[in-house]
Amino acid sequence: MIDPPDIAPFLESLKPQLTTYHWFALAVPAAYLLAFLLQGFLGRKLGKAGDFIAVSMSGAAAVFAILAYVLFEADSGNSAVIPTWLTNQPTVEWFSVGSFHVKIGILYNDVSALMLALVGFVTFLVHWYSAEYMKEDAKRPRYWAFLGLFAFSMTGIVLANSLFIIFIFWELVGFSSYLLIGFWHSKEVSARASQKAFLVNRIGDVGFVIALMVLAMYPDSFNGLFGEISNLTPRRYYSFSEGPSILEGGFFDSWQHYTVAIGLITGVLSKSAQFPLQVWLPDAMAGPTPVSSLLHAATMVAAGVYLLVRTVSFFPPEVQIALAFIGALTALLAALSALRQTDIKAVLAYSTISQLGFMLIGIGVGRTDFAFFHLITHAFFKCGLFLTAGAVIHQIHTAQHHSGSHFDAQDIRLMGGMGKKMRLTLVVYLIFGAALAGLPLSAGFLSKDGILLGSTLLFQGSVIYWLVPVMGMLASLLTAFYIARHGWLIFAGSSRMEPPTFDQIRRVNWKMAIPLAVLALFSLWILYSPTHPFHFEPHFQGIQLPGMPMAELPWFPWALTGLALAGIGGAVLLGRNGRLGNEPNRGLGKLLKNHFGLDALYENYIAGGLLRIASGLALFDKKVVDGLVNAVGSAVVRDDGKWNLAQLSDQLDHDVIDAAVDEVAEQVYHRPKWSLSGISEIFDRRVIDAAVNALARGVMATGQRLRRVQAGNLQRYLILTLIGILALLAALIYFGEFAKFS
Amino acid sequence: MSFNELIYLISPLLFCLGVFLVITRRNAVMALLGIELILNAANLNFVIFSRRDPDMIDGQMAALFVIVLAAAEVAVALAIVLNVYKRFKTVNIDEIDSLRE
Repeated sequence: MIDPPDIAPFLESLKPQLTTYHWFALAVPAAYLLAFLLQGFLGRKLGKAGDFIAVSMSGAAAVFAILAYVLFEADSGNSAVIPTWLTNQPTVEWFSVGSFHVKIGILYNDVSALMLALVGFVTFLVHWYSAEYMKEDAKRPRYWAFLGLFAFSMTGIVLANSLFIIFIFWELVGFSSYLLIGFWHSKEVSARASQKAFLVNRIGDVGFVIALMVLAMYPDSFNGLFGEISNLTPRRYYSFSEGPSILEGGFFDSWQHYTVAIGLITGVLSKSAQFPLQVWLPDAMAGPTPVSSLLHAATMVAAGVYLLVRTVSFFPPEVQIALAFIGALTALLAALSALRQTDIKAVLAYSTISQLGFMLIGIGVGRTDFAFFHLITHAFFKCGLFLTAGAVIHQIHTAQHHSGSHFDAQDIRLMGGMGKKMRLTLVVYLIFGAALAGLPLSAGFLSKDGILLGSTLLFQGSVIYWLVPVMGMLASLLTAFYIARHGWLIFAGSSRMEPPTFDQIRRVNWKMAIPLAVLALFSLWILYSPTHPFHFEPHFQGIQLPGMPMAELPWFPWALTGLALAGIGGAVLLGRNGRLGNEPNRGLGKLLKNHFGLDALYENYIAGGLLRIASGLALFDKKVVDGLVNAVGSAVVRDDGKWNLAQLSDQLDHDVIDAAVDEVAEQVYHRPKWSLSGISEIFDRRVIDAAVNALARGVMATGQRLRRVQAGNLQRYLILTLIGILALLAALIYFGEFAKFS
Repeated sequence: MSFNELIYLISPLLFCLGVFLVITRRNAVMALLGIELILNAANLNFVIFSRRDPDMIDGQMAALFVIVLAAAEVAVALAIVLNVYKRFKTVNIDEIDSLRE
């Protein structure tokens, strides 16, 4: 006889409890919030120490995040049947309305653990870099405060286990990015860019809100949407609700299901800058360059993809596949646009849109693990590319300052030959660029390989589905070309600046160089797949995402490498012949540079159309409504015509009433002495006149007093109203009217 | 005083602060802020008294209604302030008294 297994410890282990790694994870947003408050309220008093405090606090947050990740990995290694994070979601009820409960809690699983570590680490590097980059700016306390708020809201999205709470932090991310993009708000272009980013994100928020409203029809559904990320077949859903939940009652494949999925996707499309809502991201580079690097890497745009990773197992399959097509289209369009950009940051901005498109492809074809992996590698190399661009801009600015020249320090057509002056920057740039282009031995190769292979494998069956991998590979080829063009124009050949400025360019100092070097290390294969540098690994070393084993196509890595080399080779060939950077800005090239006129389309037809409707309504108001009112008014008081109301009443008065009065007076007046008229005259004079005069005097005296009240001072009216109401209330209380209520 | 008694004081306090702002501030925008405080005091009142009857959510619904109303009110009021500024070149409440004549 076998003893029944003792299930009490197992049930005990299912109870949510805050473990050590939860505390460390919670310390991360807490540190950012503290930094925000400190810099926001005391920033000016801190002075020079403020920079040190800001950097060290974000450093502490990074340490907490990484410690939590390490502890979590150690802990989840020995969990047997059910991963502990599935049930271990410490949650408290925030508020409830009737039977509708909103809970706040943390979900610390393999995805959020990794994401938190990534956000913390990249944010720390950006803080470090900013301390040097922004050291001339007098408004640094504000900058640190905004960065703190930004990181706080992003880590909130990462950790929250309820869509409702995620939405709150989602909005905070949008708001703080608005503050950061418009940090130099006195510049027209920054102010406009921040408004644009904010407004475009509003569109996605509407979708998110609609999704939340539909979900709110089901009890406790805000917390139940997070499936396990990679085992997508069979689909698994988890819910922790008591009573009827979203899993029952025919929710799936109902219109509610589609509405929620499409609403969430609208939110993601705006936040992660995907077609057709990608227009805000290229403008968002108007902010300081470290902000761009944070925005384009681990925060903001990553938030959308992260939300998809968390919720995609819940989407209807058709909607999920639509994501792959949207991603492929965006990746291709943005890569095409990047070909013709001349601003050092604009190339990178379009490249971000394109790479996010790759992540959507990965999610759409069910390779959520590789999409998330690409999010991580992209965060490192894109952050690095932006910081490198920032270093170049910074050094050119400094050189301009020394030599007294002025030109656009962000125009890559005016650069060239920087490699001779900034050797370290060139080396790290080559690593980042190789990762973006997808060359072997880089991190980008591993993740992009997985996504494209996944899309190829899934879509082998159908002709139309081939579009996704084909567009993806085309975008991959163009990516290699535009990043090589970018690098060639900045670093290669001879300088196109005036020699005095060029001579003043110095290499970056160590404070700026260290973050670059660290990011370059993370852009190599070595941390992810040290034993297989040329091929994807379902279980990445160091990052343990459970992934499905994937069938291999032996030619695939070679094909990708070939594409990348072809793109780079093409750019180098054109560069050697001096045909890069001076492309004519007309025809197709102009279309590409303006990103297919999407901005103009929105401005002229959508915003312009709305404005036209508004001015049409204003015209209606002015002509029709005002006209009617005026017509009525003039019909009443018109003095020329005969048939108006005033005329008629005048006539009535004159012809009928006056005549009658006259007749009566005639009858009364022609009587003898003690007639009615005589008596009434005396009475009239002594009594009525006196009374009327007294009344008139009284009214005049009151009027004189009250005149001061009606002096046009709004606030005095208000005080009098208040006194009146108080008097009324006092009277009511005194006469017992309120006695009923008590 | 227990928590349950204390929370009834928050709403009147907020209301008085709002009225104080509206009465004392010369800047129209600050006065609008005061109006917002007054509206939120009313909201708090609704919500707090709704605690007495947890099964009914009338108070909370009324508060939601007020929030919607407040949003519309702010939009209109700010548009008025903007137009006032365009016309009088000031948002100082004291100086806008041309209806006096």
